[in-house]
Amino acid sequence: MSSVATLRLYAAPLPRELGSLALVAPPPLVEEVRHAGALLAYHPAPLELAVLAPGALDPARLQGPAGVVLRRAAVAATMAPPEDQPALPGPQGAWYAALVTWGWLSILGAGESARSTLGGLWLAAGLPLVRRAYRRALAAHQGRAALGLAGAIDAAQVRVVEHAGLQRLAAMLAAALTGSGQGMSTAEAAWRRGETSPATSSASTGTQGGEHGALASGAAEGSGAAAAHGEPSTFAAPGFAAPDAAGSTELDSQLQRAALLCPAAGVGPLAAFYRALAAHRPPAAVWTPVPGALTGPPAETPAPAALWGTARPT
Amino acid sequence: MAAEAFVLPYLGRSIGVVFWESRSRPPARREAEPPGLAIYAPGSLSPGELAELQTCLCTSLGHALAADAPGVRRALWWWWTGGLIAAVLLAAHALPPGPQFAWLALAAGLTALPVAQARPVSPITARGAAAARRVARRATLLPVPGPDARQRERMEGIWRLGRRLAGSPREQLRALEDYCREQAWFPAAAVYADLAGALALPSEEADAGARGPRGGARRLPWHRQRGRAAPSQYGLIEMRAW
Repeated sequence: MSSVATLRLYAAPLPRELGSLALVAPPPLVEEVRHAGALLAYHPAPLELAVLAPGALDPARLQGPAGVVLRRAAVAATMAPPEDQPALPGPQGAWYAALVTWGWLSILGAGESARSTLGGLWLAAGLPLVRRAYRRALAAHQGRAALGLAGAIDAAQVRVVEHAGLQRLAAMLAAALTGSGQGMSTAEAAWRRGETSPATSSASTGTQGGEHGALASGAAEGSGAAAAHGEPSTFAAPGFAAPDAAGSTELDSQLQRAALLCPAAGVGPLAAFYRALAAHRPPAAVWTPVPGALTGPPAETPAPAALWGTARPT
Repeated sequence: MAAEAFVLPYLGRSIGVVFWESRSRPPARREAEPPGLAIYAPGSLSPGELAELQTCLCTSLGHALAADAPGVRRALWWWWTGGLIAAVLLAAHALPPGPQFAWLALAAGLTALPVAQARPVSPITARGAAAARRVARRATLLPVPGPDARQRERMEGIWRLGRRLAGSPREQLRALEDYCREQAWFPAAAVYADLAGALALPSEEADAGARGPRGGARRLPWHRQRGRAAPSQYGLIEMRAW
């Protein structure tokens, strides 16, 4: 790519109790990082990270966490060998040892036979040599993506771009909160009016939170601080283990609805992320919460023309 | 354009497909094309969706390049050549005592070959990687509105069809594929054929398992290679419903 190579990362909207926003790289995006690394190994170019967001976000605030998520995704993508390549073809184990032994015996018992000597030489020496050469070439090939990423990842530019599907998802979550707004705490209502910071309100919200409320406050204190220092957290947080609270049911159903909406919103890889959160399981993704990144409540459900565009073929 | 991105209908939603190598155009014309990513969509795309299509082009090129391993291919070539010659030499040496010994030596010698690895020696991956290098040298990620009137006409037609389609997913994909073939739009037809192939119903999967290779046949390398699709010369992402 002569100009720039691009990678993407989701800024997934979350309910307030969970911090309102998370940077997520689901497994398909991790695989994309590996492929982008292969491209960069052949054609070194500046790397750009497009953070797909539900609205306007401050890029400076996302720069640190996004860089860390990208690095962790790069590690996850390049450390494990690709599934579509077997480790080593050809004979292995006892059969391989037997073939090499047969080669030595052929050389020893060859007499004046050049055919036996050459055939035995191949089995005794040629086969181990070419096997080793194959292993080295495969290791070099698998490490090429890491080399390509290593040269570009530190200087990666973060660009925040609005994504129509994530906008729709955020609007759904906001509408769900509004719909269940009767149980909203005073702090959250104040946050909705813009009087307090989201981190403060999410940490102090208790009526809807239940288990997630404790988790969110943990995220705001522990993980949030870790994110501020550039360390993504996972859901292996102390308050996460046992889903039992009836108060979290509403939150879980919101997350389930978000998971159901993901395919239609064009963000299918996020469905597993939301499902895992709803089931109180750690998501199989590289991710970090970014509390307070959304500077205000998500926009109300936009008009179809504004969201989907007006030009439709007849 | 060096690469073209289409937002195509797919089972009530849409998919973004980026074609970066068109064999229908001669090489001279391909070289003369302006670099850039031509976008054909049924409506306006958000900046995030444009970024997704750009990412799709990058990762698709990277996938084609990652599938090709010249060093591995070279090592395998030496392995196959040396192994075959050695097997023949050992069989020829064992021929004087009797042909049964020669067959035994030949069979044993052939087991030293790297039979489980077929993809890196495949000429398809090498050709795809060469095309990806060519595109990566010339193409840019700058998205521009698709300038080709013929493609826009095809897009309108396929969306008209896609919006009124009903029935099973396989039938819908078949109808879309047929439309693309009628329009001589073979790359898009190949995409729908691939998607239909990936849509295996559970009952069909069970049937395929019942009809599949049994016993020792499953160990044969060409059976083991099934299901590992070679990287196509297009990138695919799912997009929102329109």
